[in-house]
Amino acid sequence: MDNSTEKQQAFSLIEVLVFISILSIFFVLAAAVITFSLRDMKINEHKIIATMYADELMEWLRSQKEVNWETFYAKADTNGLVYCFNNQITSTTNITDFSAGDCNNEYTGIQGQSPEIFKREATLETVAGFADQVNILVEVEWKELGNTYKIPIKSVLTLWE
Amino acid sequence: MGIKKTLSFTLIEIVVVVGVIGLVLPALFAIVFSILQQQTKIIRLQEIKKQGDFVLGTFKTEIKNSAVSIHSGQPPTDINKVCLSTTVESAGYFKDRNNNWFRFYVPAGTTKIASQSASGSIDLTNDKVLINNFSISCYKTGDYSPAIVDIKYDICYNNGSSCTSIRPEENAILTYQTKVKLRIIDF
Repeated sequence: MDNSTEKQQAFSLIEVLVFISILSIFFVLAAAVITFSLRDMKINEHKIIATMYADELMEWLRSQKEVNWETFYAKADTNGLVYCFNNQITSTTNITDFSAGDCNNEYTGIQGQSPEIFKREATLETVAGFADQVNILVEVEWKELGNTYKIPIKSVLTLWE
Repeated sequence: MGIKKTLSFTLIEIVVVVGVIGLVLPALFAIVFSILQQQTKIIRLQEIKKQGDFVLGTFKTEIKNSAVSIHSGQPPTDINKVCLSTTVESAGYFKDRNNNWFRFYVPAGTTKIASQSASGSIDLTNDKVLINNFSISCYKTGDYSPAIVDIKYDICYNNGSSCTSIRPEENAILTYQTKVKLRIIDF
């Protein structure tokens, strides 16, 4: 009889439920924020790499134009010719080794350099009536978590500069 | 019987609490660790890209705007002129319009790129990065065309004087290459 009359100190079910639910809301929010920021950081990392690849290709195209304007100009036309650069390019790579054609939606670049998730294309376009100018559009594209990201760089290369 | 009920946690309660903490803490640390890992990678990539782009930009503008002829030594004279043919030669020194020389080089015993002229030398990269495979050469495509300067270098984050670290997130390396054509034809 003693035990039943003594008031025991304890939390009620409602109190415990309220506490647990507030705690769980907090944890779910924290987890959401963390996964979001982690995902964002990964995308940022890929953005830096993609920008590097786009700059690299633009620099290489510029060097090709410096070496021989005629062969470079012959690679472009008024409608814009698309070339695929999913493979690595070095200073010994020559533009004459490439033939027009896009990457066929293959995100396999840049081959040999992890992560191989990029598609790198360049469009070379001439302007009717101007034999000393080629418009260039370099695009590096990749897919991440259902979204497609793209780094485009535009430039105009001329014979005299 | 007057057994006094003492206020205390039971063994089961303690076991449950410790179990929950034991589950939550490793998960928490794993998340924090992966955030730090990712941040390290981004910071290092940004650093080498920043310095690599700066070096490339400096090379391009300086050579294009100032270089008149290329020489194998200094002071620049007609005798030590290089890159007058299609043969690829090392581009040691450049001469500008005022007959002053300047050059880009890796100072002996260091792993940075520096720019030097008669008035002194300035480092273009700092100790945070390492420069490897630096080469600056030149050639002509024809007798009557300006010389082309071919520049190549690898830049990586300095992990205690090495490019590679046992932790994959600490590795960051970029390759740079470009060609610059001089504005003036030199014979």
